[in-house]
Formats: sequence, structure tokens, C-alpha cells
Amino acid sequence: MTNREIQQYRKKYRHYDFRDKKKDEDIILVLRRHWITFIFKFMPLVVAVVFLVFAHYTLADWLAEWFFLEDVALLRFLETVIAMFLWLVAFIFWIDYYFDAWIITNHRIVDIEQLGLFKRNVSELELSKIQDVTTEIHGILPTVLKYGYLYIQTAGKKERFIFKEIPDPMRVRRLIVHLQKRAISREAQRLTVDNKSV
Amino acid sequence: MGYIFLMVTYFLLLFVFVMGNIIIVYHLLTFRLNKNLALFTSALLLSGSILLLIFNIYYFLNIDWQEVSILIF
Repeated sequence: MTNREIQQYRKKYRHYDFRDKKKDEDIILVLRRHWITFIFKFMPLVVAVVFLVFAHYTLADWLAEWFFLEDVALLRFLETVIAMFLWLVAFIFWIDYYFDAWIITNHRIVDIEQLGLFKRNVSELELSKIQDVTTEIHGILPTVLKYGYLYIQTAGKKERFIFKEIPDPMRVRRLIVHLQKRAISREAQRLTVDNKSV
Repeated sequence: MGYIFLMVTYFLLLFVFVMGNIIIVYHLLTFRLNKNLALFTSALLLSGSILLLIFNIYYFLNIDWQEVSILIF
């Protein structure tokens, strides 16, 4: 991992922002779960939409006849109600996926975990407090699509940070280790300056 | 009685739908990790919701709910 690569990352995320971002802090990487995990979660919804479209074109007349309805307005009405709630659920899934994020900055790592609509856990870790970084890619699909877990052992209050199903965990590990070394040397420099001034 | 029950259920359903929209848009706009994407997603959600709501209200007004309540209850 070179400084040039880090500069490229910084450029990519320069328009990004998050709550409590410090003035001298630059976002280097924003990570989310791999897109395939979102597809898996979204699949039942797609099946429901396909069923709804199928029902709209084939089952409506049959159901109207079965329930002795003069027109299909009631069935169309029920279809729109189901469609409205599928639409909402799709966006709730999106929020759950999109808001589960890990933000790596030049100072710290911020772990944001969204649980449903009303619960969000946010924890952060100073880069200099990282003790160990481990990656795990387990299974056929994760191996082929290169996604997996990354575990960070810390000296802080929350002992273990887990990046779940992130794309290319090896590359992220290299980046974190590089940033950790820089943070430690920066800390050492600061301490030296402080000691000299005392 | 059945008619009132159906109407109350429908308006509760509408209330949940509208509140769901408001909460999702609030989340999207306050998280603000990527402002443009948040705006786009909110616009997509609201335009889709309004469209579905128009269809829903159109069919709602075309139904004889007295007859439906007799059929159901």
C-alpha cells in the first residue's frame, strides 16, 4: 500500500461526510457488505413482485369470478396496497444495507451498524490502538467473489471490531496496517515533541 | 359496523405508509454520508410512493365499500 494509493482513495471519498467528522480528518475508505449479500436479502422481495405481476395478469379475473365480484376494482385495490408495502420494505432493506458501514479515516475507524429502522450502533477505534488485524474468507461464493470477514483486535473498550462480508478484505487489511503504522509514528513524534517542550 | 371497521383499517394503513415514508426519508437525509445519493434515493422513494398512492386512492374511490362490508361480514 503506497501513499499514492491512499491519496487516490482520499480523492474518491472527498465529497463524503458523516456526523462527528473532525476538521482535520479525511475519509480514506467507506466499506459496506458485498453487493451479493444485498441481492440475497432482496430475493424474497423480487419473488413477491413477480408473483404480484403474475396475479395481476392471470389470477385477477379468476379470483373475481370465484368471489362473485362484479368488477376487479377490489382486487386492483388490494394489489396497490401490497405494492405500497413492498415498496416500503424494499427501502427498509436498502437502509439496512446502506447504513451498515465502516468508515476508515486517517485517524480512526468508525463502525456503524444499523438494526432495523430505529436502532443504530456506532463505535469508533483509534488507529494507534489496533493490536492485530485478521481476515477470513470462508466458502465457495466468498472465494470466487472475494468477500469475507475482517477482525480487528483492539486495546480499547470494544475488544473486537468485525467487518462483515466486505469486498476484498486482504486489501483492506493492508490499508489498515499501513494506516496503523503511520498513526503510531505520528503518536511517537508527538510524544517526543511534548517531552522536549517539558 | 363492518363499513366503519374497513374505513378505520384503511386510514390506519395509509397512516403507516406515510409515516414509513417520512421515517425513511429522515434517515436518508440525516445519515448524509453521500448527499447526492441520499437525495436521489429520497426522490425515488417519494415519487414511487406518490404514484402508488394515486393508484390506491383511485381504486379506493371506485369501490362500493358498503357492498364489500356486506360481502365480508
